[in-house]
Amino acid sequence: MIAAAEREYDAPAREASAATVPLLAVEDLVKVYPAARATLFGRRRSLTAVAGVSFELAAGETLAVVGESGCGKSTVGNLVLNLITPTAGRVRFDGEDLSAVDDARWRDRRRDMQLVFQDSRSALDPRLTVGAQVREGLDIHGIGMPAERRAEAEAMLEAVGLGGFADRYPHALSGGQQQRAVIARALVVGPRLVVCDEPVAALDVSIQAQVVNLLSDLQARLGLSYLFISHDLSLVRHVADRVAVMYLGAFVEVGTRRQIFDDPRHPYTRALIGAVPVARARRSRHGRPVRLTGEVPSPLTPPAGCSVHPRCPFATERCRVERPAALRQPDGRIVACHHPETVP
Amino acid sequence: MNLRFVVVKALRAVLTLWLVVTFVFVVLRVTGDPTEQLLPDDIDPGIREYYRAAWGLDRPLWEQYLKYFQAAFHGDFGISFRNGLPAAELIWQRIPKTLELGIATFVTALAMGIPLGVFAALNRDRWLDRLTMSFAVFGFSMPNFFLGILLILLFALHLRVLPSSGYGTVGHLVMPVITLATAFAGAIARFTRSAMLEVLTRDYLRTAEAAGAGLSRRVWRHALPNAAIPIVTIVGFSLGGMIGGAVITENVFAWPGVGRLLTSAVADRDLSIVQGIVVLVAVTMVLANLAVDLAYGWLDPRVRLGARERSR
Repeated sequence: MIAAAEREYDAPAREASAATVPLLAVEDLVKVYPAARATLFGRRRSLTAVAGVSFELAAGETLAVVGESGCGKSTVGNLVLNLITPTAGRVRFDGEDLSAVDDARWRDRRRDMQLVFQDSRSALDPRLTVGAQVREGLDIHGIGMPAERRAEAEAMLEAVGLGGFADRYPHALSGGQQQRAVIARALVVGPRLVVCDEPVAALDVSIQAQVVNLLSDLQARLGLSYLFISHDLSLVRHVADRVAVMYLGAFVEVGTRRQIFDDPRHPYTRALIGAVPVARARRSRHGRPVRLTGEVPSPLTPPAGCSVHPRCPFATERCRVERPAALRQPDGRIVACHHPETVP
Repeated sequence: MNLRFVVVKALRAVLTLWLVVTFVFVVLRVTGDPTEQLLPDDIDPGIREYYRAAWGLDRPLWEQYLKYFQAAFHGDFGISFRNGLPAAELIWQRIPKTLELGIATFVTALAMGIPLGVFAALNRDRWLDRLTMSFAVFGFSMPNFFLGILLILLFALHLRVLPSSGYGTVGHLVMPVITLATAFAGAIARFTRSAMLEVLTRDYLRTAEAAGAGLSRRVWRHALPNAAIPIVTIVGFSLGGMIGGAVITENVFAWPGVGRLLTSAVADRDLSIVQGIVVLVAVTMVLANLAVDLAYGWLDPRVRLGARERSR
C-alpha cells in the first residue's frame, strides 16, 4: 500500500494529468552575467539580468511579458529557448525538463519552440532567398520528403500572404513583408510555442495591426501558444490572455489581461498602466495613477529589499530591507509587494 | 551585373595599366644609361654609341615611348639588352614557375587562414582566440627573407629534410610556400575573425539557432557566406602583396621564377625585361581587383541585382 501511494506521488505529471500540464513551465529562471571590474583592483561585479522568474503557459494561450527596456524581458525569451544558457532554474516543455537535456535533443525540440524577432530585417539572412530560408527549418528537422519541402515552404508563405515571394531576397521585401517571412520561417516546422520578441516594434503602426492580426489568426488556426514580449501596452492589451509585468529582472505582477489593465495592484504596474495615454481617461478602481520618481536603478547595483522601493511612493521600512515574495492573491493573480492591499 | 558596370571597370583597368607602364618607362630612362651598366667602363665611345643606336636609346624620349607602345600592342616588349632574346619570351618562360609557387601559396594560405579566423571568432576573447591571433600577428609581421632564412637553417641545415634552394621536386616547394603563405594566412585569419565576429552577433544567426541549426550549419551556410565580402577584399589585395613577397622569397630560395628575373634585370638595367615584368604585375593586380569586384556581385544579392529592386 505504501509503495502504491509512493508511486502515485512520483508518477510523472505528464501521465497523471495530461490536460492540466502547462505547455511551458518555467521555474526560478536566473541569468547572471559577469561584469567588468569598476576599477582595476575592484571587486568583480555581476549583472543579474533575470532574477528568479517563474511562470506557466497553457496550450493556445498568450502570455505577454511587459516592462521597460533593459528589464530583462528579452533575456527571458532567450532563456526559454536556450539561446542563452540559464545560470539557474528550470524550463519544462510539455512536461520534459529541458535544463537536463543535451544539445542534440535541444535541436530536436526546437521544432516545437520557435522564435520571431523584433528586427525582421536582420533576422533574415541577406544571402538566401526567402523561400530557401523558410525551407531551412524543414531541412534541419527532416520534415517531409526533400522534394515536397519547396511546395511546403511556398504554402507557408502563401499562408502569411507572401505567395510568389519565394525567390526574392530579403532586401526586396518591405518591413511588414519581411516580418511575415520571419513568421513563416518560424511556423513552417509546426511549433507549439512561439516566442515573439517585440514582433512588431520595428514596424509602422498600420503594418503592426496587419502582423498582429496575422499572428492572432495563425494562433486560432494552429492552436499556438505565444510568449509575447513587448513594451507596447496598447498592443499587449489587444493580444494577451495573461500579462506578466517585469521590473529589474523579476516579475512584480502576473495576472489576466483584465486584472492587469483594469485593476492593477502592484504600484509599478499601476504606474506603467497609468503612463499609457488613453483617449478617454478612465480612473482605475484605485484612484489616481501612481507616479514613480527617479530612474530605474542599474542592474549592476540593484537596491536591497523590494526592487521598486527607491521609486515607490508607498515604500515602508519593510520594503527597504525585505524582498517581497511573489504571492498568489485570492483572485488568482500573483503580486510581489508587501502592501498590495493597503495602497490607496 | 550590368554592361555599364563591366565597361567602367574595364576602362579603369586600361587606364591603370597605361599609367603604370608610362611611369616605369620614364623613371627607368631618366635614372641612368643601361650601356654604362652593361659595357666596360673603359670602352671606346664609338662602340657605346653603336649600342645606344641599336637599342634606340639615342632617340628622343617621346619617340622611344611611342615606339614602345606601338610594339607592345603587337606583343613585342623589346629585346633583352643582356642576351638579345625577346623580353616577352624570357618572361613567359618564368611564369609557370612563379604561378606554381603562387597557386600553392594561395591554396595553403586560404586553407590555413580561413579556418583559423573562424576558429578564433567562435572562441572570441578566450585564450584559444588570443593564441591563434598571436600566431597570426607573428606570421604577418615576420619579414619574408628572415622567415625564409630561419626555415633554411632549421629544415635544410639542421634537420636536413628539405633542399635549401632550387626548383624541381615537391620538397623544393615546401619552404618557399610556407614563407609566403605565413604572412598571407595571418592577414586572412585576422580579417576572417573580425568579419565573422561582426556576422556572428547578427539576429539571423540566432534565428538559425532557434530553428535548430547546428554549429557547422550556422557557420558554413549562414555566417561565412555573409562574412565573405571583407575576406575576399583582403585576399584580392594580398595577391598584389604576394607578388612583391615572391620577388624576395624567390631570391632567398633561388626559385627560378619571374621574381628572380626581375632582380637580376634591375641590377643590369635590362629595361625591356623590367618593363615587361612591371606590365605583367600590373595586369595581375588589375585582374585580381576585377575578380574581387565580380565576386562581390556573386556574393551579395544586393550588389548582383542592383539598386533597382531595392524597395527602400
